[in-house]
Amino acid sequence: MSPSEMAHETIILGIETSCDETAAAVVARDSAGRGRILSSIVRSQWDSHRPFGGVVPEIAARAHAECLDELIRDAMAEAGIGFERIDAVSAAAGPGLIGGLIVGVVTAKTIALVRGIPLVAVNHLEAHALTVGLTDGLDPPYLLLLVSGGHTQLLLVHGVDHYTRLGTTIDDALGEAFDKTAKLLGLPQPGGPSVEKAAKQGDASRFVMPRPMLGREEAHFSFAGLKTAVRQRALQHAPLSDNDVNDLCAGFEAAVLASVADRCGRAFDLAAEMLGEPVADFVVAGGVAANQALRQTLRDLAESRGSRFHVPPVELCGDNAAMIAWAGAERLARGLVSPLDAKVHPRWPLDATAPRAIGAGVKA
Amino acid sequence: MNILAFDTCLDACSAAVFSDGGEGVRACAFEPMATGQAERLIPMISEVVDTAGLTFEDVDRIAVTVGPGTFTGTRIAIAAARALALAMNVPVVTATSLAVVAQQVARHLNNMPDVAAIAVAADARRGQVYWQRFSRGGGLAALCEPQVLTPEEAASQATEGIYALAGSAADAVARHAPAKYRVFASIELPRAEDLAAMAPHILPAGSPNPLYLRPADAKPQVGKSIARVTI
Repeated sequence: MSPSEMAHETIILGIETSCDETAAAVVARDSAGRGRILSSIVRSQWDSHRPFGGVVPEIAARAHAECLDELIRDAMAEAGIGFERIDAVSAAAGPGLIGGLIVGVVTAKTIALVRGIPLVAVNHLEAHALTVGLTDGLDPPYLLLLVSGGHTQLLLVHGVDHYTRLGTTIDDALGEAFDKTAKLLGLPQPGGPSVEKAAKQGDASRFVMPRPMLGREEAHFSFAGLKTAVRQRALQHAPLSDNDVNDLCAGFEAAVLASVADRCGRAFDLAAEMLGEPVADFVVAGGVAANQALRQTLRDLAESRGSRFHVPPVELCGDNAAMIAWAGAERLARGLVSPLDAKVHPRWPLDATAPRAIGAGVKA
Repeated sequence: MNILAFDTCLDACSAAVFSDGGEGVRACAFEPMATGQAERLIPMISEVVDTAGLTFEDVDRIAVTVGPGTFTGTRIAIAAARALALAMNVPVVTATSLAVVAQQVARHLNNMPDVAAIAVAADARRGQVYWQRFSRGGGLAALCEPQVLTPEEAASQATEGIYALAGSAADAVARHAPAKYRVFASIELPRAEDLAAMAPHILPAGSPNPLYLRPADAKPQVGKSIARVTI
């Protein structure tokens, strides 16, 4: 790339501390709106949380505070960028665990103040939602399934800062359902990969689980009942052999895939009504998008609907800072910057106008 | 040397700029608050640097309190100090929140020759206090590590002479041994101007780490799994 072309690039430092990954990244966005990742470092804290069987907020906050500055230094070194080249700094300001969010946002504010550059407080969900703009150069509108340990939502992405929520979970997030199933069956955490691995070796026809929410009008999800069904079937067969566990996982995953495909199909209809035309692009993002069986199911669904299917590479499905930097770049390009007294938002829905789904908790 | 100091460990947010060439405290701000430091600290730092007539390029040293205090409050100032050190490439010096309160007490001891030492007790909730003792002279040398104790345990530590006692839990400690303590009821919270004045005498020691004094609240989870076949 010639120096004159580089001059048109905006370079953003991104910071992610909303849950149990500490991450820093440097991303460039050119004047045509195309992005490239100069560096992206993610440090998982999972080993610190493992003894507790789940993420402990105070342990997470402490770990972020201990290593975030180092990660930023490393990300900048890997990108070959000094502070004088950074045009703005963005941090996830929510939703997430408040202690970690504060560490990331205060760090970003400090850098913004000292270097005299804009701060962009980013919604972590928006960052997931916009990742395909960075990886595939995809522009909205598109239908998005966002599936992670904390969130399960169907969104119509109209553009930066403009979302319609079509559906959400009324109880557990999908990643959470995988984690709880793993815990129940004595499989290692995080549960997504271990349940997926067991399911591959199992027989899905042995334990047929209920398919939650099938055919419902709204594109909502529910996984708590499925979790209970897994527990009941498991108790009937305890003590469980490896085969039993594999078959239970296969039965669980088959029910999840059927339910998710049905709910996404409903969202295709709702989105098409809103857009006045069929959905051209379908995107899945978030940590659970790493599940290969889910990817295949959703790819098939998109194909059956005549829609293009997009999913970020696995390393950008889970929490990362490249997506935060990219969302920051997209917002900055539209003048959406934040003041240095910006608050963090542990709860921060992308579509603030969407009614709370009946029975839904804070994850909706 | 220009020093930028700040504190968010306890129920306040404060920042100050100090120059050791005789100018002393050039700007300071102090606002009591139980929460909201994450929003207020960075604008406040900007304000004191402006008021001091400096830019960040003029700042030679950062001074920060490392705790003890609220977990979140302690992390706010630490995160800011680490980010400043990273983005400005300047050293950081640290003091405990209790030492900074002691520094404030020391300014009021001129006419009290009977006071032998200074102790600070900050409310640590759960019926405990954050506690540390300091010698009166010799640059307020710490006589013990910061600790978390019941007020009664803390009160029993003063052995010889009269202690000047300050901090939000001073009364709770003093009532267990009223004869040993002279309570400075109006001195409850650290102030960055005191930290800034201490900072030229503290050696930089790498990246600042929070001093929590308590482990994170977390219990290992057991008994959630369904029995597996054992071989």
